[in-house]
Amino acid sequence: MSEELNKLLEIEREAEKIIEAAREEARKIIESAKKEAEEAIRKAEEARFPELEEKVKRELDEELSKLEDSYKEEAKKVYDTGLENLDKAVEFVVKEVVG
Amino acid sequence: MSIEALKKEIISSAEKEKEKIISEAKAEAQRIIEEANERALRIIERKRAQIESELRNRKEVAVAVKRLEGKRMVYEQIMKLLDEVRAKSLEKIKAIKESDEYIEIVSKFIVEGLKDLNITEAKVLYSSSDADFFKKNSKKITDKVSKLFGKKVKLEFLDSNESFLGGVIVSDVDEKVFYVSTFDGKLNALFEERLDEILNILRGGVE
Repeated sequence: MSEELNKLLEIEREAEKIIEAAREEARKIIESAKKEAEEAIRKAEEARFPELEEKVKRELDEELSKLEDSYKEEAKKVYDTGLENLDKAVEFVVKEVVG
Repeated sequence: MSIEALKKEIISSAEKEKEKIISEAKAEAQRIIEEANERALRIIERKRAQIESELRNRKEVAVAVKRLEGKRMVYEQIMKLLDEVRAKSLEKIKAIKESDEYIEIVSKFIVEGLKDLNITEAKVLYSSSDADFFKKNSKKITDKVSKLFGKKVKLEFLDSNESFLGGVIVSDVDEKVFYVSTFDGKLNALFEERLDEILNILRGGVE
């Protein structure tokens, strides 16, 4: 009887070991998942968008260049037109001053 | 039940429990990772939106600055033109002063002053630089003014001890009221008050 009881206790210990090992494995699985999750969040928080910045920079450079050309053209046109009409403007001024 | 059968039963039960524990852990792990991935995605979307907004703002500022620079470029050309108009006008005005036309002009200014002040006797102040001209032509100018005014006038020509481009300052004999009709004043007033008209002409508009 005592021998049988000992065997039974041994079997119980073996079963407990199986369950304990399973719990340890489960803990490792969860731990690993948490690390993976933390890594995913960390990467997200450190995320950069160089391609987006580059794209906007390219578009901006292009727009600024077009604007500059446009204003240069306008400035030249204003000056050229002004030169064409300079004598008329002088005539007007002189007439108003001495007239 | 034999011990062997009992052992088999207990171990089998433990193995089932093991599978259940592992299976639940895997499910929990998957849930943790999925939640983290969703959160990471939201973080990335939020950061992207934030960066897009920052880039948009930076772009708007850069464009606004460029527009200001561009307008300044145009404005500088306009200022250059106005300087040229003023310089050439001054040259022409100086040339007119050297001609006989100046007597006509000064006479007309004096008549306008007399009418404005409603007087027939006046002091006429001139620029120190015009002293020779007025000393030489005062009688001629007085006669001309009388003719233009339609009645005889009495004018006393005085050096203002100020240097101005040309024209005159007319006052009553007591020097209480003045009518300023100098070239400088007219020129400055024109460039201040009627600048839009000068600019309109420069742009090719009608006077």
